[in-house]
Amino acid sequence: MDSLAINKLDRLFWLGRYTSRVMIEIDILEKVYDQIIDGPDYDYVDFCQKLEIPNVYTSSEDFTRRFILDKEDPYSIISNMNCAYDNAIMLRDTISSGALSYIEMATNTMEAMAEGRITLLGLDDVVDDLYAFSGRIDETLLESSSRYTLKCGSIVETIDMSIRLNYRLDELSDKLTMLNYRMQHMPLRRDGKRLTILLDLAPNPDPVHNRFILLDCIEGLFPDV
Amino acid sequence: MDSLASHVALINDQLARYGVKFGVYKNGVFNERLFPFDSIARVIDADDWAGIERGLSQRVDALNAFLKDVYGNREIIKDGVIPEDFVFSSPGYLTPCVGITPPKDIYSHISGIDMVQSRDGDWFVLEDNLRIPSGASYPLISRGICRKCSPDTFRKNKIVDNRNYGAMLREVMDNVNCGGINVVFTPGRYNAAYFEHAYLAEQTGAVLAEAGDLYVEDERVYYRSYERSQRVGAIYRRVSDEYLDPTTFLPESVIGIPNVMSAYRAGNVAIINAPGNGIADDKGIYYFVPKMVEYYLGEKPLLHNAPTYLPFYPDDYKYVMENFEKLVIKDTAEAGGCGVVFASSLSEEEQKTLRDKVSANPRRWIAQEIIDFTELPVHLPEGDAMRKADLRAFVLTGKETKVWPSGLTRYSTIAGNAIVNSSQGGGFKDTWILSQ
Amino acid sequence: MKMLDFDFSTRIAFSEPVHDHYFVLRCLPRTSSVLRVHSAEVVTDPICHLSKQTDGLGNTLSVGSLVGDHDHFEYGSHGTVEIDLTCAKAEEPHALFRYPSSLTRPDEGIESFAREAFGTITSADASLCTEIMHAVHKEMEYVPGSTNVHTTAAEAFSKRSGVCQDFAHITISIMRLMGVPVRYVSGLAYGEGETHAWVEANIGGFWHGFDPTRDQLVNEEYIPLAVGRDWSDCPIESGSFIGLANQTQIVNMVVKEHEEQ
Repeated sequence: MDSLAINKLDRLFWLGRYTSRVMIEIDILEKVYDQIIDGPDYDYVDFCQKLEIPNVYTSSEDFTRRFILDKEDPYSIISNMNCAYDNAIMLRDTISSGALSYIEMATNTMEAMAEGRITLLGLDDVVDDLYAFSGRIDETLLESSSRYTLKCGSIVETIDMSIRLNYRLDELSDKLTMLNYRMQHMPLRRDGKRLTILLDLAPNPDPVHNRFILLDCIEGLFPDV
Repeated sequence: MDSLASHVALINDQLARYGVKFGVYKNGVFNERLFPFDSIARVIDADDWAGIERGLSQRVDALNAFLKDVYGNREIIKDGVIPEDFVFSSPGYLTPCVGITPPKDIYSHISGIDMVQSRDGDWFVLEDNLRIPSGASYPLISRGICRKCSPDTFRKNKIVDNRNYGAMLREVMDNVNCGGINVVFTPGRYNAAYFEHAYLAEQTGAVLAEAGDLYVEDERVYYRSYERSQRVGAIYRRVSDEYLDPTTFLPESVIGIPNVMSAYRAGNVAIINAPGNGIADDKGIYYFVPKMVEYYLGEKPLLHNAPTYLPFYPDDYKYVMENFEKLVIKDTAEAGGCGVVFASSLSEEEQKTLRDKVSANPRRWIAQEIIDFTELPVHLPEGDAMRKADLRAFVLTGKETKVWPSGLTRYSTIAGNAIVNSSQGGGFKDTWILSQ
Repeated sequence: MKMLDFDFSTRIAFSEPVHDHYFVLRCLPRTSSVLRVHSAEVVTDPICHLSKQTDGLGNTLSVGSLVGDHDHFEYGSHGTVEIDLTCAKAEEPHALFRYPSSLTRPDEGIESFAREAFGTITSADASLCTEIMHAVHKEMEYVPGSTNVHTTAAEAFSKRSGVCQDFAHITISIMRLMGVPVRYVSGLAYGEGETHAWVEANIGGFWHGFDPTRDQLVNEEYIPLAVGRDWSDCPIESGSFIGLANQTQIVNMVVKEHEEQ
């Protein structure tokens, strides 16, 4: 396999994005879950605004429940997990049944939680499976342009979420450097102007001040996907 | 076996892990379901299998010869072995395939032959599937899982390994490849057998492609890639003939490869299985398969058909009318399981209506004796029970014709029911061939 | 013997640009014992590379594609042919021309009509075929736009209206009922206007043409382009493209006596 179909690159990229998004959202939601046990309500209105998703929730409890497991809510974690699955099952021949099985297991666990068969502790298993997936990809997906396309999707999502939600902002500069490295090994066309801006800002991104420009550059970096 | 049965939960977890699913549409909504797996395998001993193997190879070789003949010189018709009516008025005979010779003259590369075993132990062929027979992936993946769950079972029993299916299939593709890569062409993930398409692509090292990934230029097929396109030499297509090429077959198809027939006609790509094979697995043609074996190979057919009558012939007509309520009546104009009626299940009035239809157009109908086929034990939560089961054997034609030493055993989940279709809620078993 | 010049083109205008357009054309005269091609050329606009192939029924195919955006597609052919019906040679018809196809399958309406009109006739000869042609012509009304390319013989016959394609399908349906091997012909006929369709019946080994639309035997002023069991086997153009566009089509066709240039 020396050259990948555009469709496949697109799916690898989005598989990377969705798996990262699920991991980050679970990390955030587990903290929120803990906080509202005895603390103040969670400011989910602000959360929705920053993510640019509609606020359809009625309370902190409603938010934690539906944002994690409501399949009807297209922005929920379970919906994002299903999007990852939709991309992954079109890639069995590229990523292998072995790697795909971790996405299957994570999806099945989300489903079991949504159906009330297991408790929310299953979220830990989901995260475990997704880390195992990325480790397995690193070691077994030897064709480098597919591997790096997936990893680019993953780091793009991490950077995007980081800027939007002030999530681990201290790591942003390193993450941009990591993106720049991964990009060198994959074939997707990039927007040169946006890339220059991102690299210029990388040493000192100042995301509070540069939020708009950073988001525009990261979202528009790969115009074909 | 006992050890396997005690691992049912473990095995099911593994099947879920590897996504062994099939898709079903219910009320217009697509859902994926796990294909229920029963851990008690069907076991066929070495002698019995040797006979089946020879019979299946012979049958498929004859069917391939028949396809070459009916799309070419039509000798079997000129020699009066098969009335031309049965060939040329069948919807399975496709005009665009007339005169095209596929690479290496192979039409049916992958044949799925459905058989049942009578209570006396005799095997009967119920149906030949020469278009897109599916199902090999299920026993294939389940074998690996079962070996992991209960290595002892496989250490103690001499069971022929069936995990070479991917390699066998690849050999079949390579054998007819006209230069370029092998692809598995799927109608997409909302197809009932999508799992199989993706899994077989992985197992054969072929590229999984769907509409839009392949295009035709100057009588050649290419795989659309990011940097540069690649020639495609063989297409294992899981899209049916009518949707395969909108400029030759149904123009409204959006899941096909426009102009792929021009590349095929020019001999620049192999299509696996060849378009037009529907003529050979037509319900009316089935009757003639044993005659084909004699005609093309000059051999006695080793496998039996279920006893079948063609009301088209006066003697058969008389028999059918006298024994109507004992028979299965099949409408050759309907595909697959549709148009299959057990006359005994009809009311008197319905029987009369059907009799009248057969009398009005005898050519359109076939009648078969009901075979009381064996039941196999199935492991159910409430205890083991006996259920009807059939066997789909997979016959692969490459440089030579080989039978995969395994097969898909399907069982009915309802006691006494003879319909074993997965869409009817049935499940599957692995099929073990013993090496001694 | 007749020398004919022919020139025809179909121009399809798309309301929006379309792309990934693939097509198969059957627009070259069909060489046979009675037809000799002096010159013939397929033309398309936009210009594209065409692969020449022959299908199993002996029709010449021109296969091509236009991948980029385009808002129109024109195809056609022109040239000179020589037709001499006295040169006809016997030809064994393919057995599939004896059996109903999807567009020509008779229904009760066609069957009872045929039974009443010709039920007592036992010999399938040229005079029977001529009778059938007359009967179809008389029974049917020529109404452009009353049917489309997918209309079956049975549907058109129940309305008693249609265009040349429907006239041909009904004629085929009845002739096959009477046991005559018969094929559908797409082609060009003397005069100006549109492409035409008629039928050829194989009688005593020879193909004889019948034109139920004009109610006449096919003479040396007909140029066959393609044959099949029915229209769906041999459309003059069969295409597939990506794009949501309305199509409008203009056909120009001239067949006239040959003029030395």
